[in-house]
Amino acid sequence: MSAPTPNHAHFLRLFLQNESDLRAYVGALVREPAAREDVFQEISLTLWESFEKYDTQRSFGAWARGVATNKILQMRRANSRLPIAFPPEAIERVLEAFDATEEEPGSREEALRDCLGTMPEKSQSILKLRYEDKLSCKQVAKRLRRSLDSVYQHLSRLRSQLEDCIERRLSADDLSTPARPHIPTK
Amino acid sequence: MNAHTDIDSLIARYFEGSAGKSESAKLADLLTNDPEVAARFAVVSRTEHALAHHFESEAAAAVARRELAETIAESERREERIAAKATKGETVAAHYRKVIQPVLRAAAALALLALATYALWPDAPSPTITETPAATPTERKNIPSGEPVRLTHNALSKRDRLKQELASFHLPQIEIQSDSLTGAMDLLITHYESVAAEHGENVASLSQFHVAPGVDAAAPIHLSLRASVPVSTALTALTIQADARPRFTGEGVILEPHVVTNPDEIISRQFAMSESTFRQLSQAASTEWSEAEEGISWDASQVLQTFGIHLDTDHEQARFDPSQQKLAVTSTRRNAASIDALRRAADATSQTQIHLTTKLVQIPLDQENGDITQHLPTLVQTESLLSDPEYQAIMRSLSQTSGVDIMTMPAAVGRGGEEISVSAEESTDDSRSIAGVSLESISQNAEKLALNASRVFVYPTESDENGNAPTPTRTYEFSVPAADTEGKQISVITRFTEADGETSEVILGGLARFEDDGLEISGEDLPTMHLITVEPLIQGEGETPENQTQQLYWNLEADRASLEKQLSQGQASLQALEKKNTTAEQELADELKFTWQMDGAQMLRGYNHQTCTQCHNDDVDAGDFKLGVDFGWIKEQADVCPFSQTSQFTWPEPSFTTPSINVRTTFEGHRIRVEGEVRIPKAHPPGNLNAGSQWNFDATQAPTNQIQFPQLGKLPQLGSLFQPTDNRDSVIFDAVLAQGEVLMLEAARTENTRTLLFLSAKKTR
Repeated sequence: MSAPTPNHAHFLRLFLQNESDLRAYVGALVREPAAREDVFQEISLTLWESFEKYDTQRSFGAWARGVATNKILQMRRANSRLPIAFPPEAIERVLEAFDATEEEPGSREEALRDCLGTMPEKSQSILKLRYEDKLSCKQVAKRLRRSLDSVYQHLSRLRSQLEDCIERRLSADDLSTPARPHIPTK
Repeated sequence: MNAHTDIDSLIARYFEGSAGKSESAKLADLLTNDPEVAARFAVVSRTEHALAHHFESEAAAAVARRELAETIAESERREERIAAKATKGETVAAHYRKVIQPVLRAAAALALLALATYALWPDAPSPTITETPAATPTERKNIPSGEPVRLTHNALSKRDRLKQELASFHLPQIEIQSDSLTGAMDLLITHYESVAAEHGENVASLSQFHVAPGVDAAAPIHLSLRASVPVSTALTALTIQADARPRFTGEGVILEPHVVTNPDEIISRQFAMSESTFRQLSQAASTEWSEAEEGISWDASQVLQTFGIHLDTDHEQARFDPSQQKLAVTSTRRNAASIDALRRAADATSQTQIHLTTKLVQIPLDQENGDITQHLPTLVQTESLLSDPEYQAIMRSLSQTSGVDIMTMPAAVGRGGEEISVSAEESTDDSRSIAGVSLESISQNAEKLALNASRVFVYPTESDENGNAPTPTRTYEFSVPAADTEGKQISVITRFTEADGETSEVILGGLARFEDDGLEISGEDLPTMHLITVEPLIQGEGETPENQTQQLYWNLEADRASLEKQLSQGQASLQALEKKNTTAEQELADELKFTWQMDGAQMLRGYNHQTCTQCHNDDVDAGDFKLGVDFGWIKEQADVCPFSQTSQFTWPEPSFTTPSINVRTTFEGHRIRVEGEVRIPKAHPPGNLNAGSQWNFDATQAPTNQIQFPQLGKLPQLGSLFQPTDNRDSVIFDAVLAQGEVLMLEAARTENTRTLLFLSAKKTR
């Protein structure tokens, strides 16, 4: 295998930095896991092929989401069975919302890890059931012998607490370290 | 509940996948028309993804940590095992240097002393080195008017029987997962016994297995075979995984180290392997080869992996070529040795079969001109090996001769070592004769086939010579107490008290010696025992030089067996320490030479045989044995009988006109029990030996002096019923038959006819 060209290396660096956020975006639109992975593969390939067109003055994340949106809409047109719940207009609004709330790559995961560490063990265990064991809320309720509503509320409360915590940490980071511009150098 | 919570709840159900169509549509509508909802959706999406990603990573990390901990624990266990082996090996090496080495040197000195004693003995006959007679499944009998005719039967040693049983018993699917070799062996034995019990078959004594020093008994074993394989193949596959190999003994299986020099060196080898064997292994590995793949070689690495032989596909490969019937291997020496062991175990079950075809030709004897076959141009008179052209010429001649009756006989199939009952039977009003053919062991790769052909004459059993109905045979049973006979002569003294009150003795006996496989009874010394004066072998005071030499010889034999056992144990441990202790290895090699030199003691045994032969030739006068027994036949008997087994011989064939002796020897550990009976035909008691004669057997008394054999009177004239014309009628015929050759035997001869048997054989699978 030959060594990556500078262009390769540049793409890879940017892609890996933004992969998680791009996955969050694709995951928000395509919920079925196998289809989501297929779509993400297609998007990755398209990003690689069209990387020459990327304007380095722009945010890579925003460019990648734009390419991903076009790809998703294109795939949806080609395959009406593709499990996408939202119409194109809604997808456009979601894209705008993601662009408007773009964060430092990787910062949310890092903040989440810290916030989870401060949560009581009981709260962590219910999150584990939902996200590690991939149980539905109904299954979690059955496992914990609680009502479905209470599980919804509990999880909603936990998510809110986490979001508050994450926001606090992200804001603190913003104050302590000046935000880096999302202008990658080529 | 406020609007924010409602939106969150809706988004949460969307991400959970529990939102219905209407809820999804509602969310889509909100996303399209309300930027705040879209912004909230983006935040929740990121949080959902971060949570899922975080917990997936945590789960993966937990698995990785667990695997790492297991690897570390296994590594620690391995280190402990290596340390234990090293300690054990050092102990054995120290024991070897302190104890075995001096004993071996002393034994070598004793051997030299024995040889010197023998050399200085003034009356010593010229020594002759004679090999120990090989165990053969044969015994001889005499008929009064001819040369011996050989009867053949199967008499496998206990070890060979165990090997054969394990190779022929197929286990269905096998699933063995054990953290130790001994545990895996227990599972295999349990599986074997349960399958055998289901089918109502006896099991071989596999439970007696022993793990030799140097074998990692704690090696983890995994064996998963999806189709039936023989027990021996499964056993080999187990041992391969522990770098060991099975060695069969009379008592069970020893798992010994499979030591390979330069085990990691890459070599290329080709192993002969039949397609059926490879397919059998492939099926067990759940790998099938289609007909479409014929003509190309097949990748055997997956098959081998199933049997515990792992090839590194970057550097190693194994491919089976069905057209060449070969397995080509490029691999390490260790893997090559394992493949060879597996191949041998698997091949033992697909032994070459022998396909015999026969043709029987009855030729009338011309009363005036004699045997008309004498006038045939190329026909050999009796037994011959014929080439195919010769055979064709003979058959053409015979088919054109009037009165010749050509009959094709059924073909027979058997394996090497088995007796194949092909016989030509000739019956007349007053006689019946049978020519039988048996096969001896056949090498798989041999181009030729060893045949042992014999004729058995069967005399009428339906009526006696006067046409009377047969009368029951009166049986005198005898039994003697077991006697400690290891390494000593044994004998059965038969005392005859005849009708006139005179008493005489006949001795049956032989030399009993314990071997690895069981108790070997050799009749070599029998003539010595009853034809010349033989002092008891082991005496106290007043020992003769001969006895002293004999005693010394037996002592050395016993010492040697004990030392060899110790040596093999020490050797196994030393091999495990090969890399650590090259000095000890060199010393071991030196001492092995010592044991080889001890074979000089064989010369003493040679002397023993020569005496026996000499006496037989000089002193035996068949005329003295009017009972019809020429005990000279026992001289030819050499049989290996496993412990707790019964060896039986009867002479002659029981009939209503011939007295016969039937002796059974049962081996019980280190003791022997002899019992049997003498059958005297009531209608025709031989001479003055009548039905009231007393027969006493004493196995504990050693022979003392020359035995007088009284004239017991006339015997029924068996020859009057079927009179062989000359000695040719009872010749034993051993032949090595090549592909395409035909063996011709004279099967029978009466006053009016001569019967020839033509036999050809080919190997098949």
